[in-house]
Amino acid sequence: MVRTPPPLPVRDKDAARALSPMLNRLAEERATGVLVREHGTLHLAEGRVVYAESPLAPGLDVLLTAHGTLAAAAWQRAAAAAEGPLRAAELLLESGLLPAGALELCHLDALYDAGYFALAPSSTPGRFHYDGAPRTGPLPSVPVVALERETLRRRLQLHRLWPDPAADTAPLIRADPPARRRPRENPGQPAAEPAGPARPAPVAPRQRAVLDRVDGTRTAAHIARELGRQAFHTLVDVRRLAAAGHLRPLAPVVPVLAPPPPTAPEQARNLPPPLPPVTDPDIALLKRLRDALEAL
Amino acid sequence: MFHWKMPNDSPLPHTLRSVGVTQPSPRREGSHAVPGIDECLLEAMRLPGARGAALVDWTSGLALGTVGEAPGGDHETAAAEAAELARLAAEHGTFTVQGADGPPVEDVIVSNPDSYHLLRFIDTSFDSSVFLHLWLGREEGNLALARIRLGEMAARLVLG
Repeated sequence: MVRTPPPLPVRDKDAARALSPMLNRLAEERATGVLVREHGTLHLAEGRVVYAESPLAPGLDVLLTAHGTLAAAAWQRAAAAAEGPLRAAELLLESGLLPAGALELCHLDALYDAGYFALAPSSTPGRFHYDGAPRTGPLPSVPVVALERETLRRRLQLHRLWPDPAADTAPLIRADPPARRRPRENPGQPAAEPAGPARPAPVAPRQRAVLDRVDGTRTAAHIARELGRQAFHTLVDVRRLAAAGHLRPLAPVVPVLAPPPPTAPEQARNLPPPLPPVTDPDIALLKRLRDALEAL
Repeated sequence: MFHWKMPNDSPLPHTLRSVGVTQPSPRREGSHAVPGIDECLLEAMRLPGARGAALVDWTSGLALGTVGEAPGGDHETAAAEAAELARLAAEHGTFTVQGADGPPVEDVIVSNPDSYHLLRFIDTSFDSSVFLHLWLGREEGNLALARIRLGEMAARLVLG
Protein backbone atom coordinates (compact mmCIF):
# COMPACT_ATOMS: atom_id res chain seq x y z
CA MET A 1 0.00 0.00 0.00
CA VAL A 2 1.00 3.57 -0.44
CA ARG A 3 2.70 4.86 2.64
CA THR A 4 0.32 7.05 4.54
CA PRO A 5 1.84 10.34 5.54
CA PRO A 6 1.18 11.84 8.96
CA PRO A 7 -2.00 13.88 9.42
CA LEU A 8 -2.11 17.31 7.89
CA PRO A 9 -1.49 19.88 10.56
CA VAL A 10 -4.21 22.31 11.53
CA ARG A 11 -3.25 25.90 11.98
CA ASP A 12 -2.51 26.97 15.49
CA LYS A 13 -4.46 30.16 15.81
CA ASP A 14 -2.54 31.26 18.87
CA ALA A 15 0.86 30.84 17.26
CA ALA A 16 2.99 33.92 17.41
CA ARG A 17 3.07 35.60 14.04
CA ALA A 18 6.70 36.50 13.87
CA LEU A 19 7.42 35.58 10.28
CA SER A 20 7.95 39.17 9.30
CA PRO A 21 7.29 41.95 11.81
CA MET A 22 7.60 44.43 8.96
CA LEU A 23 4.84 42.68 7.05
CA ASN A 24 2.56 42.83 10.07
CA ARG A 25 3.15 46.56 10.44
CA LEU A 26 2.38 47.04 6.75
CA ALA A 27 -0.83 45.08 7.12
CA GLU A 28 -1.86 47.16 10.13
CA GLU A 29 -1.31 50.42 8.31
CA ARG A 30 -3.11 48.99 5.25
CA ALA A 31 -0.11 49.73 3.09
CA THR A 32 0.03 49.43 -0.67
CA GLY A 33 3.28 48.53 -2.37
CA VAL A 34 5.83 45.79 -2.88
CA LEU A 35 7.72 43.95 -0.14
CA VAL A 36 10.96 42.51 -1.51
CA ARG A 37 12.43 39.74 0.62
CA GLU A 38 15.38 37.45 0.03
CA HIS A 39 13.42 34.55 -1.48
CA GLY A 40 10.42 36.30 -2.95
CA THR A 41 8.24 39.34 -3.32
CA LEU A 42 4.80 40.15 -1.90
CA HIS A 43 2.56 42.70 -3.56
CA LEU A 44 0.23 44.42 -1.09
CA ALA A 45 -2.88 46.49 -1.67
CA GLU A 46 -4.50 48.10 1.34
CA GLY A 47 -2.65 45.69 3.59
CA ARG A 48 -3.77 42.55 1.76
CA VAL A 49 -1.58 40.28 -0.34
CA VAL A 50 -2.72 40.53 -3.96
CA TYR A 51 0.17 38.75 -5.63
CA ALA A 52 3.36 36.89 -4.72
CA GLU A 53 6.32 35.77 -6.73
CA SER A 54 9.47 33.83 -5.95
CA PRO A 55 12.32 32.45 -8.03
CA LEU A 56 11.72 29.15 -6.20
CA ALA A 57 8.08 28.80 -7.30
CA PRO A 58 6.68 28.60 -10.84
CA GLY A 59 4.71 31.75 -11.59
CA LEU A 60 1.11 32.00 -12.70
CA ASP A 61 2.37 32.12 -16.30
CA VAL A 62 4.19 28.78 -15.92
CA LEU A 63 1.25 27.09 -14.19
CA LEU A 64 -1.18 28.29 -16.86
CA THR A 65 0.91 27.55 -19.93
CA ALA A 66 2.68 24.30 -18.90
CA HIS A 67 -0.33 22.10 -19.64
CA GLY A 68 -1.92 24.17 -22.34
CA THR A 69 -4.54 25.90 -20.18
CA LEU A 70 -3.44 29.06 -21.90
CA ALA A 71 -1.33 29.43 -25.03
CA ALA A 72 2.06 30.90 -24.25
CA ALA A 73 1.43 33.54 -26.91
CA ALA A 74 -1.78 34.62 -25.18
CA TRP A 75 0.09 35.14 -21.92
CA GLN A 76 2.83 37.07 -23.70
CA ARG A 77 0.27 39.34 -25.33
CA ALA A 78 -1.36 40.03 -21.98
CA ALA A 79 2.01 40.55 -20.30
CA ALA A 80 3.13 42.97 -23.02
CA ALA A 81 -0.07 44.99 -22.65
CA ALA A 82 0.02 45.10 -18.85
CA GLU A 83 2.24 46.41 -16.10
CA GLY A 84 3.33 43.34 -14.22
CA PRO A 85 1.96 39.80 -14.05
CA LEU A 86 -0.97 40.67 -11.77
CA ARG A 87 -2.33 43.16 -14.30
CA ALA A 88 -1.69 40.61 -17.04
CA ALA A 89 -3.83 38.08 -15.16
CA GLU A 90 -6.56 40.69 -14.73
CA LEU A 91 -6.46 41.40 -18.46
CA LEU A 92 -6.92 37.69 -19.12
CA LEU A 93 -9.91 37.68 -16.77
CA GLU A 94 -11.44 40.68 -18.51
CA SER A 95 -10.83 39.22 -21.94
CA GLY A 96 -12.75 36.08 -21.00
CA LEU A 97 -9.93 33.90 -22.40
CA LEU A 98 -10.01 31.85 -19.21
CA PRO A 99 -12.95 30.90 -17.00
CA ALA A 100 -13.01 33.05 -13.88
CA GLY A 101 -12.98 30.05 -11.57
CA ALA A 102 -9.92 28.51 -13.19
CA LEU A 103 -8.02 31.78 -13.12
CA GLU A 104 -8.97 32.55 -9.50
CA LEU A 105 -7.97 29.08 -8.44
CA CYS A 106 -4.63 29.17 -10.23
CA HIS A 107 -3.99 32.70 -8.93
CA LEU A 108 -4.59 31.62 -5.31
CA ASP A 109 -2.47 28.50 -5.80
CA ALA A 110 0.40 30.62 -7.13
CA LEU A 111 -0.03 33.25 -4.40
CA TYR A 112 0.18 30.82 -1.49
CA ASP A 113 2.97 28.91 -3.22
CA ALA A 114 5.24 31.88 -3.87
CA GLY A 115 4.21 33.40 -0.52
CA TYR A 116 5.54 30.34 1.27
CA PHE A 117 9.02 30.98 -0.13
CA ALA A 118 8.82 34.75 0.16
CA LEU A 119 8.23 34.32 3.90
CA ALA A 120 11.05 31.80 4.34
CA PRO A 121 13.70 32.77 6.88
CA SER A 122 16.10 35.21 5.30
CA SER A 123 19.54 36.51 6.05
CA THR A 124 18.85 40.03 4.81
CA PRO A 125 16.12 42.46 5.86
CA GLY A 126 13.18 43.00 3.53
CA ARG A 127 12.61 46.27 1.69
CA PHE A 128 9.23 47.84 1.09
CA HIS A 129 8.44 50.21 -1.74
CA TYR A 130 5.25 52.19 -1.25
CA ASP A 131 3.12 52.39 -4.32
CA GLY A 132 0.60 54.98 -5.36
CA ALA A 133 -3.01 54.03 -5.76
CA PRO A 134 -4.31 51.11 -3.72
CA ARG A 135 -6.26 48.79 -5.93
CA THR A 136 -7.35 45.34 -4.93
CA GLY A 137 -8.67 44.40 -8.38
CA PRO A 138 -11.02 41.61 -9.43
CA LEU A 139 -8.80 38.65 -8.50
CA PRO A 140 -9.00 37.33 -4.93
CA SER A 141 -6.57 38.73 -2.37
CA VAL A 142 -5.47 37.21 0.92
CA PRO A 143 -5.06 38.81 4.35
CA VAL A 144 -1.45 38.92 5.51
CA VAL A 145 -2.40 36.93 8.60
CA ALA A 146 -3.90 34.14 6.49
CA LEU A 147 -0.77 33.85 4.36
CA GLU A 148 1.46 33.80 7.43
CA ARG A 149 -0.59 31.16 9.20
CA GLU A 150 -0.72 28.99 6.10
CA THR A 151 3.03 29.33 5.61
CA LEU A 152 3.67 28.21 9.19
CA ARG A 153 1.28 25.31 8.76
CA ARG A 154 3.06 24.25 5.56
CA ARG A 155 6.45 24.34 7.29
CA LEU A 156 5.07 22.07 9.97
CA GLN A 157 3.56 19.76 7.36
CA LEU A 158 6.93 19.33 5.61
CA HIS A 159 8.69 18.84 8.92
CA ARG A 160 6.30 16.08 9.89
CA LEU A 161 6.76 14.30 6.57
CA TRP A 162 10.54 14.26 6.79
CA PRO A 163 12.43 16.51 9.16
CA ASP A 164 15.51 17.13 6.99
CA PRO A 165 15.02 20.25 4.85
CA ALA A 166 18.12 19.58 2.74
CA ALA A 167 16.04 17.97 0.01
CA ASP A 168 14.12 21.22 -0.52
CA THR A 169 17.04 23.03 -2.10
CA ALA A 170 19.82 20.57 -3.01
CA PRO A 171 20.10 18.67 -6.28
CA LEU A 172 18.29 15.37 -5.81
CA ILE A 173 19.52 11.90 -6.58
CA ARG A 174 17.65 8.63 -6.64
CA ALA A 175 18.30 6.19 -3.87
CA ASP A 176 17.74 2.52 -3.53
CA PRO A 177 14.62 2.29 -1.40
CA PRO A 178 14.84 -0.07 1.53
CA ALA A 179 12.82 -3.19 1.02
CA ARG A 180 10.92 -2.56 4.20
CA ARG A 181 11.48 0.11 6.66
CA ARG A 182 9.87 0.95 9.89
CA PRO A 183 7.54 3.78 8.94
CA ARG A 184 9.45 6.75 10.18
CA GLU A 185 6.57 9.01 9.30
CA ASN A 186 4.72 7.66 12.29
CA PRO A 187 7.42 7.42 14.92
CA GLY A 188 4.91 6.85 17.69
CA GLN A 189 3.57 3.67 16.22
CA PRO A 190 5.17 0.29 16.67
CA ALA A 191 6.65 -1.14 13.52
CA ALA A 192 4.22 -3.65 12.17
CA GLU A 193 6.23 -5.62 9.68
CA PRO A 194 4.00 -8.04 7.86
CA ALA A 195 5.58 -11.27 6.88
CA GLY A 196 5.97 -11.82 3.19
CA PRO A 197 8.20 -10.97 0.29
CA ALA A 198 10.07 -7.75 0.76
CA ARG A 199 9.27 -5.01 -1.70
CA PRO A 200 9.61 -1.26 -1.62
CA ALA A 201 6.54 0.85 -0.92
CA PRO A 202 4.88 1.81 -4.20
CA VAL A 203 4.99 5.38 -5.37
CA ALA A 204 1.77 7.32 -5.95
CA PRO A 205 1.31 8.58 -9.54
CA ARG A 206 1.93 12.23 -8.73
CA GLN A 207 5.09 11.30 -6.84
CA ARG A 208 6.19 9.14 -9.76
CA ALA A 209 6.24 12.21 -12.02
CA VAL A 210 8.60 13.88 -9.56
CA LEU A 211 10.79 10.83 -9.04
CA ASP A 212 11.15 10.33 -12.80
CA ARG A 213 12.86 13.72 -13.03
CA VAL A 214 15.33 13.14 -10.23
CA ASP A 215 18.70 12.86 -11.96
CA GLY A 216 21.40 14.15 -9.62
CA THR A 217 21.21 17.63 -11.13
CA ARG A 218 17.69 18.94 -10.79
CA THR A 219 16.43 20.50 -7.58
CA ALA A 220 12.83 20.45 -6.38
CA ALA A 221 12.37 23.95 -7.84
CA HIS A 222 13.58 22.75 -11.28
CA ILE A 223 11.23 19.79 -11.16
CA ALA A 224 8.28 21.97 -10.15
CA ARG A 225 8.92 24.28 -13.08
CA GLU A 226 9.25 21.40 -15.53
CA LEU A 227 6.04 19.82 -14.32
CA GLY A 228 4.22 23.16 -14.20
CA ARG A 229 3.35 22.22 -10.65
CA GLN A 230 3.29 24.25 -7.46
CA ALA A 231 6.67 24.19 -5.77
CA PHE A 232 5.19 23.41 -2.36
CA HIS A 233 3.31 20.43 -3.82
CA THR A 234 6.62 19.25 -5.24
CA LEU A 235 8.30 19.65 -1.85
CA VAL A 236 5.59 17.53 -0.25
CA ASP A 237 6.31 14.77 -2.74
CA VAL A 238 10.07 15.18 -2.40
CA ARG A 239 9.94 14.89 1.39
CA ARG A 240 7.65 11.87 1.20
CA LEU A 241 9.95 10.24 -1.33
CA ALA A 242 12.93 11.03 0.89
CA ALA A 243 11.14 9.53 3.89
CA ALA A 244 10.44 6.38 1.88
CA GLY A 245 14.08 6.18 0.81
CA HIS A 246 13.47 6.75 -2.93
CA LEU A 247 15.64 9.84 -3.17
CA ARG A 248 18.11 11.87 -1.19
CA PRO A 249 19.70 15.28 -1.50
CA LEU A 250 23.08 15.30 -3.10
CA ALA A 251 25.55 16.46 -0.47
CA PRO A 252 27.15 19.77 -1.37
CA VAL A 253 30.61 19.34 -2.79
CA VAL A 254 33.10 20.48 -0.19
CA PRO A 255 36.54 21.02 -1.67
CA VAL A 256 39.11 19.22 0.44
CA LEU A 257 42.83 19.23 0.10
CA ALA A 258 43.78 15.92 -1.42
CA PRO A 259 46.42 14.05 0.56
CA PRO A 260 49.69 13.53 -1.29
CA PRO A 261 49.59 10.35 -3.33
CA PRO A 262 51.28 7.57 -1.39
CA THR A 263 54.23 5.82 -2.86
CA ALA A 264 53.56 2.55 -4.55
CA PRO A 265 54.69 0.10 -1.83
CA GLU A 266 52.88 2.10 0.84
CA GLN A 267 49.75 2.09 -1.30
CA ALA A 268 49.91 -1.65 -1.60
CA ARG A 269 50.27 -2.06 2.15
CA ASN A 270 47.37 0.26 3.02
CA LEU A 271 44.85 -1.04 0.58
CA PRO A 272 42.27 -3.43 1.95
CA PRO A 273 41.97 -6.72 0.15
CA PRO A 274 39.74 -6.43 -2.90
CA LEU A 275 36.06 -7.11 -2.26
CA PRO A 276 34.86 -10.46 -3.47
CA PRO A 277 32.34 -10.21 -6.30
CA VAL A 278 28.84 -9.91 -4.90
CA THR A 279 26.78 -12.83 -6.03
CA ASP A 280 24.75 -13.24 -2.89
CA PRO A 281 21.08 -13.24 -3.83
CA ASP A 282 20.14 -12.38 -0.25
CA ILE A 283 21.21 -8.78 -0.55
CA ALA A 284 17.62 -7.75 0.11
CA LEU A 285 17.67 -9.73 3.32
CA LEU A 286 20.86 -8.01 4.41
CA LYS A 287 19.31 -4.65 3.74
CA ARG A 288 16.25 -5.56 5.78
CA LEU A 289 18.55 -6.63 8.56
CA ARG A 290 20.41 -3.32 8.36
CA ASP A 291 17.16 -1.38 8.42
CA ALA A 292 15.88 -3.39 11.33
CA LEU A 293 19.09 -2.72 13.25
CA GLU A 294 18.89 0.96 12.46
CA ALA A 295 15.32 1.04 13.64
CA LEU A 296 16.19 -0.45 17.04
CA MET B 1 -14.43 2.10 2.18
CA PHE B 2 -15.20 5.74 1.38
CA HIS B 3 -17.18 5.56 -1.82
CA TRP B 4 -19.90 3.14 -2.58
CA LYS B 5 -22.46 2.66 -5.24
CA MET B 6 -25.06 5.38 -5.47
CA PRO B 7 -28.66 4.47 -4.71
CA ASN B 8 -30.40 3.38 -7.86
CA ASP B 9 -33.53 5.41 -7.38
CA SER B 10 -33.15 8.62 -9.30
CA PRO B 11 -34.41 11.83 -7.77
CA LEU B 12 -38.11 12.44 -8.22
CA PRO B 13 -39.06 14.71 -11.09
CA HIS B 14 -40.66 17.27 -8.80
CA THR B 15 -37.44 17.42 -6.80
CA LEU B 16 -35.50 18.19 -9.91
CA ARG B 17 -37.97 20.85 -11.00
CA SER B 18 -37.75 22.56 -7.70
CA VAL B 19 -34.05 23.14 -8.06
CA GLY B 20 -33.92 25.92 -10.53
CA VAL B 21 -30.84 27.23 -8.80
CA THR B 22 -28.67 24.66 -10.47
CA GLN B 23 -29.00 26.41 -13.80
CA PRO B 24 -25.91 28.36 -14.82
CA SER B 25 -25.89 31.57 -12.83
CA PRO B 26 -26.64 34.74 -14.77
CA ARG B 27 -23.64 36.46 -16.25
CA ARG B 28 -22.26 39.35 -14.36
CA GLU B 29 -22.21 42.81 -15.84
CA GLY B 30 -19.06 43.18 -17.87
CA SER B 31 -17.27 40.93 -20.26
CA HIS B 32 -15.51 38.46 -18.00
CA ALA B 33 -16.77 35.00 -17.42
CA VAL B 34 -18.45 33.76 -14.25
CA PRO B 35 -18.70 31.87 -11.99
CA GLY B 36 -15.70 32.31 -9.78
CA ILE B 37 -14.93 30.35 -6.63
CA ASP B 38 -17.37 32.26 -4.41
CA GLU B 39 -20.25 31.96 -6.88
CA CYS B 40 -19.61 28.24 -7.17
CA LEU B 41 -19.68 27.76 -3.40
CA LEU B 42 -22.82 29.87 -3.04
CA GLU B 43 -24.48 27.84 -5.75
CA ALA B 44 -23.62 24.64 -3.89
CA MET B 45 -25.23 26.13 -0.78
CA ARG B 46 -28.53 26.45 -2.62
CA LEU B 47 -28.81 22.66 -2.86
CA PRO B 48 -31.48 21.31 -0.51
CA GLY B 49 -30.02 20.52 2.88
CA ALA B 50 -26.67 22.21 2.25
CA ARG B 51 -25.01 23.30 5.48
CA GLY B 52 -21.56 24.26 4.32
CA ALA B 53 -19.22 24.07 1.36
CA ALA B 54 -15.52 24.54 0.77
CA LEU B 55 -12.92 24.42 -1.97
CA VAL B 56 -9.90 22.56 -0.62
CA ASP B 57 -6.40 21.70 -1.85
CA TRP B 58 -5.78 18.08 -0.88
CA THR B 59 -2.00 18.26 -0.99
CA SER B 60 -1.67 21.09 1.50
CA GLY B 61 -5.05 20.89 3.27
CA LEU B 62 -5.69 24.58 2.60
CA ALA B 63 -9.26 25.83 2.18
CA LEU B 64 -9.19 28.19 -0.79
CA GLY B 65 -12.78 29.22 -0.15
CA THR B 66 -15.47 28.41 2.42
CA VAL B 67 -19.13 29.25 2.88
CA GLY B 68 -21.77 28.38 5.48
CA GLU B 69 -21.20 26.24 8.53
CA ALA B 70 -18.13 24.07 9.06
CA PRO B 71 -18.56 20.46 10.13
CA GLY B 72 -17.02 20.30 13.59
CA GLY B 73 -17.19 24.07 13.87
CA ASP B 74 -13.93 25.06 12.19
CA HIS B 75 -13.40 25.36 8.44
CA GLU B 76 -9.62 25.00 8.65
CA THR B 77 -9.77 21.78 10.61
CA ALA B 78 -12.51 20.44 8.37
CA ALA B 79 -10.42 21.26 5.28
CA ALA B 80 -7.33 19.51 6.65
CA GLU B 81 -9.30 16.41 7.62
CA ALA B 82 -11.25 16.27 4.35
CA ALA B 83 -7.95 16.64 2.50
CA GLU B 84 -6.62 13.53 4.24
CA LEU B 85 -9.58 11.52 3.08
CA ALA B 86 -9.39 12.87 -0.47
CA ARG B 87 -5.69 12.12 -0.73
CA LEU B 88 -6.10 8.58 0.55
CA ALA B 89 -8.75 7.93 -2.09
CA ALA B 90 -6.72 9.57 -4.86
CA GLU B 91 -3.48 7.75 -4.07
CA HIS B 92 -4.59 4.21 -3.41
CA GLY B 93 -4.98 1.95 -6.40
CA THR B 94 -8.04 0.33 -4.89
CA PHE B 95 -10.13 3.42 -5.50
CA THR B 96 -8.63 4.81 -8.67
CA VAL B 97 -8.81 4.14 -12.38
CA GLN B 98 -5.46 3.76 -14.05
CA GLY B 99 -4.66 5.72 -17.16
CA ALA B 100 -7.78 7.85 -17.07
CA ASP B 101 -7.60 11.50 -18.00
CA GLY B 102 -8.30 13.86 -15.16
CA PRO B 103 -8.52 13.11 -11.47
CA PRO B 104 -8.14 9.43 -10.53
CA VAL B 105 -11.31 9.59 -8.43
CA GLU B 106 -14.59 11.40 -9.17
CA ASP B 107 -15.96 11.77 -5.72
CA VAL B 108 -15.85 10.45 -2.18
CA ILE B 109 -19.03 10.09 -0.18
CA VAL B 110 -19.26 9.70 3.58
CA SER B 111 -22.53 9.36 5.42
CA ASN B 112 -23.27 9.43 9.10
CA PRO B 113 -26.62 9.35 10.92
CA ASP B 114 -26.82 13.13 10.79
CA SER B 115 -25.36 14.20 7.44
CA TYR B 116 -23.65 13.46 4.16
CA HIS B 117 -20.22 14.62 3.05
CA LEU B 118 -19.60 14.82 -0.64
CA LEU B 119 -16.08 15.48 -1.93
CA ARG B 120 -15.94 16.18 -5.65
CA PHE B 121 -12.53 16.24 -7.35
CA ILE B 122 -12.04 19.07 -9.81
CA ASP B 123 -10.46 18.39 -13.17
CA THR B 124 -8.40 21.48 -13.89
CA SER B 125 -6.47 21.83 -17.12
CA PHE B 126 -3.48 23.11 -15.10
CA ASP B 127 -1.77 21.03 -12.43
CA SER B 128 -3.65 21.20 -9.15
CA SER B 129 -5.15 18.99 -6.45
CA VAL B 130 -8.47 20.51 -5.44
CA PHE B 131 -11.92 19.27 -4.57
CA LEU B 132 -15.27 20.70 -3.57
CA HIS B 133 -16.52 19.61 -0.16
CA LEU B 134 -20.27 19.81 0.37
CA TRP B 135 -21.82 19.10 3.76
CA LEU B 136 -25.48 18.11 3.54
CA GLY B 137 -28.05 17.59 6.29
CA ARG B 138 -29.38 14.08 6.01
CA GLU B 139 -33.05 14.98 6.53
CA GLU B 140 -33.34 17.52 3.73
CA GLY B 141 -30.42 16.49 1.55
CA ASN B 142 -30.78 14.42 -1.59
CA LEU B 143 -27.48 12.68 -2.08
CA ALA B 144 -28.06 11.54 -5.66
CA LEU B 145 -29.16 14.97 -6.78
CA ALA B 146 -26.34 16.70 -4.92
CA ARG B 147 -23.79 14.42 -6.48
CA ILE B 148 -24.97 15.23 -10.00
CA ARG B 149 -25.22 18.96 -9.35
CA LEU B 150 -21.86 19.20 -7.58
CA GLY B 151 -20.24 17.50 -10.57
CA GLU B 152 -21.76 20.09 -12.86
CA MET B 153 -20.64 22.93 -10.62
CA ALA B 154 -17.11 21.53 -10.45
CA ALA B 155 -16.95 21.42 -14.24
CA ARG B 156 -18.39 24.91 -14.64
CA LEU B 157 -15.96 26.35 -12.12
CA VAL B 158 -12.98 25.56 -14.29
CA LEU B 159 -14.52 25.38 -17.74
CA GLY B 160 -16.78 28.43 -17.50
